[in-house]
Amino acid sequence: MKRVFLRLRASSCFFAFMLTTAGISSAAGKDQQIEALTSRVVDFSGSWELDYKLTEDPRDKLRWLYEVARSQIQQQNAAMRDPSGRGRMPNDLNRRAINNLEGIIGLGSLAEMMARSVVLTVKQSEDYIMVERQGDFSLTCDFIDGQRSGTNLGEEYCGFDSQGQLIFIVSLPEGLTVRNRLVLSQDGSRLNVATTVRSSNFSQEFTLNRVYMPFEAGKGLYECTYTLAKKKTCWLRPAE
Amino acid sequence: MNALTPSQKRKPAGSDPRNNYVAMNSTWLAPPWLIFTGIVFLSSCSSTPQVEEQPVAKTVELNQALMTISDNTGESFNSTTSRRLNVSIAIFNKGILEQTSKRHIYNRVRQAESNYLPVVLRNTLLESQHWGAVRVIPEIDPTTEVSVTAEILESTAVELSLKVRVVDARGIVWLDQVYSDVSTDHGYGYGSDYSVSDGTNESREPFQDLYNDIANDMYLVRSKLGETEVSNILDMATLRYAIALSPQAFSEYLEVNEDGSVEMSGLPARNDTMYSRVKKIRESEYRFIDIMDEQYDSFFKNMQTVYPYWRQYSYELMVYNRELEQVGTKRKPRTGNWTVLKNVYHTYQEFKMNEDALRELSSSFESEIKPTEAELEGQVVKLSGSLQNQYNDWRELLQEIYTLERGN
Repeated sequence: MKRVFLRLRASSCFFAFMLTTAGISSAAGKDQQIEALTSRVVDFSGSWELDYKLTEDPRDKLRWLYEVARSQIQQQNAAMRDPSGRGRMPNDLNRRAINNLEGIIGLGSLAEMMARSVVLTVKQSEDYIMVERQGDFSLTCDFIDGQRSGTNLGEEYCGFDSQGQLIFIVSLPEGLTVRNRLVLSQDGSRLNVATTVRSSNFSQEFTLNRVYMPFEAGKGLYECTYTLAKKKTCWLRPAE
Repeated sequence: MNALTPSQKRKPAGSDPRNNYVAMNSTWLAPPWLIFTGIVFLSSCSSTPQVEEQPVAKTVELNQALMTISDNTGESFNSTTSRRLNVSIAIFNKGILEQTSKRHIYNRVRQAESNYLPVVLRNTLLESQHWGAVRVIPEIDPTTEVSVTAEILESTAVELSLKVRVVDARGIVWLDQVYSDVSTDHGYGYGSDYSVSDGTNESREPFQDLYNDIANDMYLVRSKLGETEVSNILDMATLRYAIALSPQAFSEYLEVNEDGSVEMSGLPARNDTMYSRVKKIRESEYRFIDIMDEQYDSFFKNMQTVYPYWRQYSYELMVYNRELEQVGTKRKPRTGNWTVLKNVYHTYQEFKMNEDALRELSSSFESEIKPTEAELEGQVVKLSGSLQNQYNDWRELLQEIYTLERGN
C-alpha cells in the first residue's frame, strides 16, 4: 500500500477547513471516497484540547435544527390545507413530520453523548493510530490488516480516505451507525472531529463538529499515571 | 511418543463464532469496491452450511482429592495415598489472531489473557488437590515433572478454545488436544468475583468447565500410573535438570528412543556429590519460580478488576447480535425507541472502555514487572527485565555456579 506520511503545515485559510468539515454532515455520499489503496495518511499525533470558540454547541445546533424542522412542518401544513382553510394536514404526514422532529432531537442527544471529550491524545505510527479521548473510549485503527473488523461489536471500519481524513465507522445493533471523521486543517493548527449519528429507522442524520487545538502535553494542572497497584493516579503538578 | 487422550473434545470444524456474529449493515457508507468485496465475501460465506455446529455448554465437576474416580475399566485411584507430582504451566501461547481482526488492539488483550488464563488453570489444579506444587512459569521447562503448555485458539466472551499439551518428564504425552467450552449467561454477573473459588466453592469463572475438564483428564492419566512410573518421572525430572546444568556429566544416563521418548539407562550414585548439588540448586530454582509465580498471581488479581467486566459486555453484545440474527431482524431495528439506541451505544461504550483499561493494564504488567530479589549461596541476587529474561538469567547464573564448583 502506497502511503504518503506527511503533516500538512502549509499556511492556508482555516475557513476552507471549516467549509470542508461543515459539508461532511450532509454528505454521506462522500464516504464513498474511502479508498484504502489510494489513501493519504496524515499525521494527527499530539495532544489536542477543545477549542470552545469553534466547536459547535450541540444544544444550539439542536435548537436551530428544531426551528428549521418546525418551520418546514408549518410550511407543509399550510400547503396541505384545502382552499377553504378548514382542512388539516393528513394524519400520516403530520405524524411523519413529528417523527422527523423527534428523530433529530434523538440523534442530536445521542451525538452529544458520544462527543464530550475535551482532550484528545493521538498516538500514531505508520501502521497504527490510537486516538485517546478523555473520559471516553479510544478510537483505534490498524492500517495494515485491521481496517475492517466484524466482531461481536458489530461492524467496524476505519481508515484514511483519499483526502487524508481519518474515518471511524461502527454499525451497532438496532440500526445505529456512528461515524467519527477526523480532519486536520492545512496549517495543522486545528483538528475537527465530526461525529455523525444515523439510525436506520430515520432518514436524516445528525453531525456534531468539535474542533480541537494543539497543546503541549505535560503542562496541565495535573499529572497522571497508571499503575497496576493504584490504577490511575493523578496529582497536582508543582508550580514551575 | 505415546499420546494418552482419555477423552476427545475437539472443536467442531467451522465453529468459529465470528462467522455467526458478524454484522454487515453499513452499505449506506460503502463505496462500490467495498460493496463488491462484501458480495464476494458473502458469497464465500454462503458456501458454508447455514447452521454451524457450535460447542455445547456443559457442566463438568472438578474431581478433587478424597474423591476416588474410576474410568471405563473400573480401575480406581486415590491420590491421597500416592505421591503428588509437581506441575509447571508455561504461560499460554497467545496464538494467531485472524488477519481481519484489529491485531494491535486485541494483541494486548490476548497478551493479557496468555498470562491470566494459566493462573486459572493453576488454581483449578490446586483446588483439585491431586498435585504437588503447581506453578506458572514464563516458558516451557522440560525438566519439570509434569509440564503443561497451551495455545489460545479462540478466546471470546462466548467461547474459549485451548490446544493443550501435557507431557511428563519422560517425554510421554499425557494430553494433546483441543478443549472448547461455551459460556452461558449464568457464568456472568455484575460484581462477580471470577476467582476459581470465592470461599464458597462456587465457581465464578465462565469457562470453569473447560479448566475442570483439563484437570480431570490430567488426573485420569495420573491415576493410571503405577508407583514405579511415578518414581521414574521424578528421577527423570531431576536427571533432565542435571543434564541441563551439565550435559557432559549426566547425559550418559539418558537414552533417546527413535520415537523421541527418553529412557534412563541408570542414575548417578546416591552419594554422587555433584548430583546432590544439582538437587540443591534445583531447590533454589523452585524458590525463584515461586517468586515469579507470585507476580503472575498479582497480575491475575489485578486483571480481575477489569477483565470480567470486559468479558461481560462482550458476552452481552455477542448474545444480543446472535439473537438478532436468529430472528432475522439483524438489519431492521426492532423499535424506534431512542432509549434503546442509547442503551445499545452505552453497552458498546462500556465494552470499549473496558477494552482500553485491559490494554492499559496489560501494558502496565509488562512495564511494571518488579526486579526479583532472590537469595543464592548466601548472596542476594537482583534480576530485572521481563519475567522470561529473569528466568533465563537465573538459570544461566545457576549453571555458572555449578560449572565453577565443578571446576570445568
